[in-house]
Amino acid sequence: MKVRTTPAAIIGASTEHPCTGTVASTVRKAQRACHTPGVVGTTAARHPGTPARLVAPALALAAGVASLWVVQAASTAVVTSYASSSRAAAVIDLTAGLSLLAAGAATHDRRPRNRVGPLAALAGVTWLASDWVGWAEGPSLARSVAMVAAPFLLALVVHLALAFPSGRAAGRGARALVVAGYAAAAVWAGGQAVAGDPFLDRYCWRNCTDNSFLIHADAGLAGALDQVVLWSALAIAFGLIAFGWRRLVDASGPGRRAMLPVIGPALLVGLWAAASAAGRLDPGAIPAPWTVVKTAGRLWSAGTLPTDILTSLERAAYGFAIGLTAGVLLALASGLSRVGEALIDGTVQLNRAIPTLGLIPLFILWLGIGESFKIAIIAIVVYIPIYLNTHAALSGIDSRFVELAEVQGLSRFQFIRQIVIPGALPGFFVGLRLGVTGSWLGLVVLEQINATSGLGYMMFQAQNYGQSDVILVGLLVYGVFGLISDSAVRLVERRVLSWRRTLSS
Amino acid sequence: MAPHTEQLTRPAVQLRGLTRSFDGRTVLDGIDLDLPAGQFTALLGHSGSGKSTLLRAIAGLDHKVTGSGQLTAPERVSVVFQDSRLLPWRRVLDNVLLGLDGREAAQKGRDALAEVGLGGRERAWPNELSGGEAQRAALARSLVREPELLLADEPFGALDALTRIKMHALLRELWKAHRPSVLLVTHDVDEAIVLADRVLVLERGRIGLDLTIDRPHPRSYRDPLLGEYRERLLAALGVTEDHA
Repeated sequence: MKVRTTPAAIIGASTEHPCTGTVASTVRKAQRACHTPGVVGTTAARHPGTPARLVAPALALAAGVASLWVVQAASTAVVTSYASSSRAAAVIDLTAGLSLLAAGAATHDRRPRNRVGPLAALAGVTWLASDWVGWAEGPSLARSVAMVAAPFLLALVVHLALAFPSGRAAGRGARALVVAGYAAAAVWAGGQAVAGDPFLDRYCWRNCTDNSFLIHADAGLAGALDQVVLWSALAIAFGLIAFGWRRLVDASGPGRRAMLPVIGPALLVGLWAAASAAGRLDPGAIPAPWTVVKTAGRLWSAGTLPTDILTSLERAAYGFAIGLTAGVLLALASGLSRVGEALIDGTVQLNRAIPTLGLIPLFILWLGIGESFKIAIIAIVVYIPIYLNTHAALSGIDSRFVELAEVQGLSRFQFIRQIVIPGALPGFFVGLRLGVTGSWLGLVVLEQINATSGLGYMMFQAQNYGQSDVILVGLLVYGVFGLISDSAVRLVERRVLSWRRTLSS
Repeated sequence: MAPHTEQLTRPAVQLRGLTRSFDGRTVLDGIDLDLPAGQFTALLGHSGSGKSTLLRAIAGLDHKVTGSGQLTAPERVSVVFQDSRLLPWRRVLDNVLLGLDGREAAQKGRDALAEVGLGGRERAWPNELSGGEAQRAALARSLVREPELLLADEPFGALDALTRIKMHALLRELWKAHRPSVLLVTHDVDEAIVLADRVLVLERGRIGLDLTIDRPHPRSYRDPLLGEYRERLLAALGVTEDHA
């Protein structure tokens, strides 16, 4: 029997003996699989189909269900999931833990057998362990065990990340990272268990449980250990990032390549989070990432954030739509006719020379301080780059193509439609991307100076009350929308200019 | 005489006293020339001798040029340029069909692509083609309009030597199948001798030499009898071979 690796084939084949093979390499693989001592024991592997095979997944699922119960029980009492006191955060927290467990259970019986399944299941258990720490009504031993188990989450995740998908961490550096992860976790867990008095723990959240393993409370030792662990965790995290970076760069798949630009920002956020966790940042000036997320959640559920976002989006959308239309129409008129060029181009160049934001006072006088002046300013900020780039592309059409059109007997209309406009599209998209960025820029300025609603207004108010987290939420939303709109334009550009892709490949 | 003498009765192109000048500098100085229908003619000359100006005059591409003279050219004229001049944003077939429309034209375009050896590449982007392939596509684009006169302005000048030899054979084959009048502008004497049945040398705005090459096709570069034509042409161009 040939051992195949698709899950369906494995399930289908599991009634037969896996240790008999016909192809030499298959035999070796199958034998190794048969003699690998696993969590469940070799008997289960040698006699597939016995209930013993189900023990590990069943245990994992039981742990998950128990966690559900613990969190549910705790939420009625003092504490919920440690992630936050909100129900949504508890759901996310539990889902993540249960997903790890489920993934572990699902891949646990994969053949050729490897460590990925057990690692994922263990990571799930340690993930949920931090919820057990907060189980105020539970036996103190359960809480203490959970407290010791929880630190191993990081090490397991590191191991999982480095060993995926073969089950073995390849290379000396990767193996060193795995070992360092376990060592740091062991030091942290052991130190906490033996010397950490939970009531003196500065990371103790909400309720501080007793510690069944405590031998001698030493706040100094526990604090020093914490510092050591924190810095080694940071070092491991950087090692992991470096490793992932190398893997990504080495990989040739288009999907992985597409992930490359995400690495830089992710690193930055990671640094921010690490610095916040280490207490290196003044929370009044730069609050921690999770504080910002929590504030966003609070503003969202209070209903003010959605209203502000909608108001801002509406302004940006109107201004952008008007600017886009005006930019394109003017560029066409001036790019395709001499009269149009004489009338329009100089005027737009003049308009461009005046900083648009300097027009704000005049526009307020003309249009009042309502919505129309904001939309008008955004439209001007948007139309200028679109006009300039599209016009340049239209009038810069390759003279060789003009000659070609004549040789091929194209009519003027055909010439414009088949040669001039497609040829000008790359320039138009450059303008479009600048215009999209410009619309957000204009919005931020207008809303922070002259608004009574919207995201900028929200941030302006927050400045008055010293709520730096609210300001960061506003910046975050601006950033997210800027990113989304830019990606959308790029996506359209890639589709429309698909002929260009062959250039870069 | 060339084997197709009987076809050479009706001139496809007739020039009488054609003069063209740029900024007061005379480039074409009263050229009289008949190109019979179906003849393969090559036009040789130094760079700056006015070869391209003559070709562009016949193609009707010289709008802002001062000049005088009489010019008769057929209605269906196609031009192949030195660069393939394919529009990068249209697929190969759509490039071939530029300026044509209809289902019938599409089929003709496919046939033309198959004829130049690009069958199956209809949906490719021009950027995906090699230099030789792009020039083949340009040939297909000029053929699909069934030209009476094919003007080629150094069409192989940008190709490597091996590709050039293949393209020579292809051009000659296409000419044999469709029999347009061809005016091939080139600065390569060997190319002119191997391909054309008549070679003109343009010198200081006038036809300096009009030579009929009476050798059967396909011709080889190593044909010793072509050497004589070669020497006469080089002499007309003012080049002497030191090593000869």
